[in-house]
Amino acid sequence: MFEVAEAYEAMMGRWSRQLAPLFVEFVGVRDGDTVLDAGCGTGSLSAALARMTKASKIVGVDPAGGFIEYARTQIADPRVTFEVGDAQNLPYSDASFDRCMALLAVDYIPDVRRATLEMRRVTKTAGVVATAMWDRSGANELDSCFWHAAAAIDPTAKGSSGRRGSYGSAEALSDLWIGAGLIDIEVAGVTMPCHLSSFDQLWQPYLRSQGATGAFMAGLSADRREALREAMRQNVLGDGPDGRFTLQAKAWAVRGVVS
Amino acid sequence: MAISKELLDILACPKCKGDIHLNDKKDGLVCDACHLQYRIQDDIPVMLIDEAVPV
Repeated sequence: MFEVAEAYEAMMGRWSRQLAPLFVEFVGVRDGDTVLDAGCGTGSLSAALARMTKASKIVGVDPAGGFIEYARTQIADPRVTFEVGDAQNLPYSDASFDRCMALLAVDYIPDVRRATLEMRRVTKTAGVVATAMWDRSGANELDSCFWHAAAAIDPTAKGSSGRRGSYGSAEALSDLWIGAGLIDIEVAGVTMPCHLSSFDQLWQPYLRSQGATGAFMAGLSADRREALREAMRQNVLGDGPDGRFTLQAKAWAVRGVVS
Repeated sequence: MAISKELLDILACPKCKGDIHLNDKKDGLVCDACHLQYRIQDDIPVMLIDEAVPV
């Protein structure tokens, strides 16, 4: 049951756990606030909220039962609860939360506009609705290290920036929040260093990755996969020996207020 | 029963956003307006419209 959740953890979980506290700082959570973690996945954001804030209640909701089961095993804090639910049809009364946050989730919601209206609906007046996504413009080395290598072995590889419905830019997130009718909108770029101890630590998770990278990997023969590996290794280590290296991750965060 | 009263207060039917209540067996949450029941599996409410059953 945890197979998909564990594959996500190996691939992106460590980075979403590192991004979560930066997102919490950007949003600002007051003592006693009730917080919804919409599209909570494996629970990185709920864990950061529990650790960093004096929120009175933290509710994580995700449509994937396997993620919810996994998240529940990771957090013992009694303020934190989880439900299986869909951001497009949130199972909460109007004005239930002081903060509604979605970390690295909006790209995966089929009708994201509907979801943003739902996020606004369940948030109290003067409460904050916020989200963050990885940058898709090429400035995020976690993303670009793969797609530069992919383009080197296959010029038709589009990369994640070519995907429909990608919200990984200041403009896209700002437009989405304006469309949701939120006010006092603020957008911020968030950068963080991702330290890796060897090339394999970066490469191995791709072998069972999901999403756009997984789809690209699945279409490769063993030879082409090896060529991709070598191109990626060249990108991050050059001709040097294997060892520690750092990639700069970049994300965008947006917050808006319910009027 | 792991569903606290506090949580029941904010939980709503994802379809009509109206009130829901625990069923007698305490293994489901019922929306009287939509005549739907959302199951509680291993103490986790499954609040998906597609997986609700008519009551």
